[in-house]
Amino acid sequence: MGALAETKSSSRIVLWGAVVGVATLIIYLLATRGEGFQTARSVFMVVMFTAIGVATGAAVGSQGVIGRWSTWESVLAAILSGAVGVLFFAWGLTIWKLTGVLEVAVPAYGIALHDLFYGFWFLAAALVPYIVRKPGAAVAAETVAAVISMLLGSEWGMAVLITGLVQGGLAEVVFAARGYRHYDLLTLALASVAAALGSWVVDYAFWYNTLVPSVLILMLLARFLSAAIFSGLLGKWIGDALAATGVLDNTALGRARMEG
Amino acid sequence: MNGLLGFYEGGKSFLHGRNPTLKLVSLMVPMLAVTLAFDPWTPVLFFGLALLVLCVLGRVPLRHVARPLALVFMLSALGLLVSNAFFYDPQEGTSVTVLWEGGPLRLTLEGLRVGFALTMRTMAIVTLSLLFVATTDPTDFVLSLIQHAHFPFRLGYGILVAYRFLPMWRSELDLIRSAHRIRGVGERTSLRGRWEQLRRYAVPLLAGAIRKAERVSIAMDSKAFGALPKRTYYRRLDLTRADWAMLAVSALVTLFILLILANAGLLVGYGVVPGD
Amino acid sequence: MPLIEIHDLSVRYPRTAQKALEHVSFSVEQGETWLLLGPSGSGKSTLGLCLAGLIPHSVPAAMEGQILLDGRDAAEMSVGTRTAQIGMVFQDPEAQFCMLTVEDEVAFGLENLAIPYEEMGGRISEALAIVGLGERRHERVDRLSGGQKQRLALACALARRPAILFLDEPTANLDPASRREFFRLLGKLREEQPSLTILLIEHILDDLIDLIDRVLLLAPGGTVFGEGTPGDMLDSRGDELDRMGIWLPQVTALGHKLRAAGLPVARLPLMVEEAASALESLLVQHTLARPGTIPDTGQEARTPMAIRVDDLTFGYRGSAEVLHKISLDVPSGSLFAIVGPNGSGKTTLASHFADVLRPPVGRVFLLGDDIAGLTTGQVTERVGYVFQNPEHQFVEQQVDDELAYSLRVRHRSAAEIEATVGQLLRSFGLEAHRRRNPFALSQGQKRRLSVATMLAVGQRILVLDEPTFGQDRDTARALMERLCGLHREGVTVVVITHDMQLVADYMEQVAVLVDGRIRFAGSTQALFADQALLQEASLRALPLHDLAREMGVRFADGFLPMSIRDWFPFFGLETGSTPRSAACAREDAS
Repeated sequence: MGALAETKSSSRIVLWGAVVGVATLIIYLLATRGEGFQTARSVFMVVMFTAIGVATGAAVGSQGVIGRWSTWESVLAAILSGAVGVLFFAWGLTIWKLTGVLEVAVPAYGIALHDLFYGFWFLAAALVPYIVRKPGAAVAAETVAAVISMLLGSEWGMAVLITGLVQGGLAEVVFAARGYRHYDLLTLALASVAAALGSWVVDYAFWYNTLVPSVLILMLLARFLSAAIFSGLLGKWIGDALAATGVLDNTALGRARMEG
Repeated sequence: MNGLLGFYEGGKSFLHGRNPTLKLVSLMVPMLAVTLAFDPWTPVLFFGLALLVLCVLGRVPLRHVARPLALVFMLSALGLLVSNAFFYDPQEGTSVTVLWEGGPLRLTLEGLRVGFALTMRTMAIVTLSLLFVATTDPTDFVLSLIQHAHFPFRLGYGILVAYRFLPMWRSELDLIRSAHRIRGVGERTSLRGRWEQLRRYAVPLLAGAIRKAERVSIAMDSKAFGALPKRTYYRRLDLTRADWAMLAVSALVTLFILLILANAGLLVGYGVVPGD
Repeated sequence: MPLIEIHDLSVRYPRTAQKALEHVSFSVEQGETWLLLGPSGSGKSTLGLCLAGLIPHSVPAAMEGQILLDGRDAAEMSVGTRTAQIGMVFQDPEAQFCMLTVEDEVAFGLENLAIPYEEMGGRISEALAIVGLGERRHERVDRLSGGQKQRLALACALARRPAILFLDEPTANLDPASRREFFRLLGKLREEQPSLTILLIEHILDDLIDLIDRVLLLAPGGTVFGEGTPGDMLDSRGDELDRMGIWLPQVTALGHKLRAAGLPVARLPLMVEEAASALESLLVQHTLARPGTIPDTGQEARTPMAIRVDDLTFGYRGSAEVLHKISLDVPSGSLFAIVGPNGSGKTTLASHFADVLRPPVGRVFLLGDDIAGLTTGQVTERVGYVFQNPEHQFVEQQVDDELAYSLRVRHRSAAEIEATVGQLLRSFGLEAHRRRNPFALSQGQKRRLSVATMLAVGQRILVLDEPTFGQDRDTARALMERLCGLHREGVTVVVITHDMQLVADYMEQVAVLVDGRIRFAGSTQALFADQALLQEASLRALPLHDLAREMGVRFADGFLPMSIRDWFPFFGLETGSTPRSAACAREDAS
């Protein structure tokens, strides 16, 4: 994909995200005018709706671009997301369930502490774009991971589709903002952090809106930190390790390494 | 490596024959309703209804469903009940009925209510998901997403490939574990050990997967995948009247339940407070 | 007008200086079946990818020259038209399919070509019937065996009714029984559809040589160095092919070696009947007393057993029993093979030798010790286990670290590690690659590395799972030579294989496993003499044995000549005159 086309895609996706995000925000603010809605209007709610709006916009904007990927890129993205999922079910999940003890052991803030291990869930959103380097990669990765985990009977069921789209959409915005040309550690970490925001927002909407603000904020920060390390850093490490084996020679990452 | 809900096993029923995309949308509607409500009645009603539909319209026997539901209840839902019961922090201005207090723990009635509501919400959502997973063939699901939800078609087939490979990866992971074990890499169950293992196994597993992916995509291209502007489909997944009816009924029933609860003064949700 | 015309085709992959194909030209008439023969690196697969238009559309490569299909320039055809004309079957049965069920997979190719829905059902039935998978129409692809999967791939190609069929090593990953089946199917296909043009790449030629009309010989570097009928090509180019490490059909190889030793072999035979008549006149004797016969098992009983299995029964959790009351003795220092049809439990059995699977107490003994009482570390000090896929056991990012790993884990001194690693690198020819990433090595190099890592701590027993699978002759031979070297040092070598030629050429003792039970354990000589047993275990009798039976040739003790070396005395030649020793004799045996 030429540099010009990439710029067009990135600005298109950012535009979609921004427009839908702002539109959602406006609708929300308008809908909650009036007396009885004071409780409904809080910073968290605003963040939630805006984030969901932006993510949806980015996801919708990505859809067309992904349709133009080649067979190899599509199959690679799907398989990476799936294989990463297998790694989780075997390891990440065990680590997650083991550390779940924290939630019960440490009162109230245990949930936040547990979230320090949350970062694994976004690995695909960092690894796939790092390797494939095409617009829409983050959305694709998270959506595929979501669909596959649905097919396998994850207990989160259809909620996982929503989570995937929002996580992917927000991560996508970061890559788009970097013009789809920079895939350094900072970008990957930021994208993972954005995905973490997405997960937090959806979890807030579904499960956690009754918790104390301090816990919520700690959860968010914990997820940010966790995402940067267990997704951004780990993603780069795995991507580089794979590239060193030579299997990625025919990918954007492989080509970038040969040239740079 | 299956999730708690198990996966599709085939069968015939009204639900089995419905279009997957519309089925998904039909189930999303009650799911959203359940998410927006805070009272315990909404999720309980939807949970019960979903269970009923699962058994009657989906012809899924209750005993198949009992185990996954029980597992989810114990592993996920209960946690919500406990944390909310003991740590519920009310909005400013509202009072709280304390049932028991001891140290940092404070059992409140409101907390219990909210906890119970969230637990039931979990159960409702899980059952709605079960409704989908138990009655939808994976290939049909992906193909329907492609045909009706404008899902990018190459990525969709990529999902089918990945889904095909999953059991293979699982056994390959076992092989890699044995191979590493006899190299002298002890399996440590500590957290740090698990982390090391994850990194160690990621490369051989993913490298093998990527190589296979490359061969599969060449094979697919050799079969003219995406070469022609239009393609035909062997699996028929047309949108029938029954599908649209399902969607309509789902939406109407959801609305109906919400209205009844609102009228009975039981509904608590965004912008709705009992007694309004 | 020829169906396919290739004019001056040259292909170069990105970032490689060496061309994959260079100035290749040839034409194929409709209905012909061609064999593309050449060592690895000769561009055979690349040719297939070019024909199908996958180069340059899916696989990036620089292509020059012209391809004409039915008179039309292929470059001017749309991708759709191009791929519609050629059906391809690739070599990896696990990596050709994208759908879940057999039916869906065959339909996939039709869907891509926008075949109307009404026609699909019929075409699918037809294609599945030709390959014999009609009853498995609704089955999941991952439940099929390797051989069935390859037949499915063939069905997928046939359903599209292409003019040309290109098969790239379709049986490379199959066991001999499935391989024979596949070529039988191909033969049937040629009869039923004589207008179908077939191009085939393979390197084990015994079962297919009678299907071939013409052979194209490719040299490393991708140049054509011969074209003609199989008889002509193998006869006139036998030397070159042999030098390049290409597997000739067994009887052809025999003829070739006899000719090289000076005998007047008029024309190299391709098949057993031909060979029988061609070589009859050159036979000096039909029966031969054999001096210094292979030591019998009586001698072995004196030495301790490297591995002893006592009444082992095993089943995976939740599945039926895989091994039933197995008792087996592997003598120290022997070259031992475990053979049997697919699914007989060979790998499962071997897994018990190396702590990959834990046997129950009192069942498996390593060098006299009960394995159940040893720790994993102790087991791995005695036994090295080389997996079928060498990549599964790589733990480090560099070759020298990989070799050092087992030593580091055991806290050996830096000096010792350095010395051992250096020595292993040298003896396994990996010095030049010491800093490379193990995954980036070639197949042969990876295999050598995995063997080397398994000997780092001075293991006295080595178990290898299908070590020569899918390799060309030279790589396979080289590996076996190394194993011979180890054998000479007294290491016990246990090989799981279905390559019966390997067993005949190198192994002393063999155990036959059928359905989880030991059907035979003894010398390889005895095994090959027992035709009924070979039949029962679906093991192939080798062409050379068939030839011996046909010609009535045998040793005085009743056994048949097994390898080419064994045949020489019957033609009055000294065994020493073979250019390469085909078996590793110990210093004391003759």
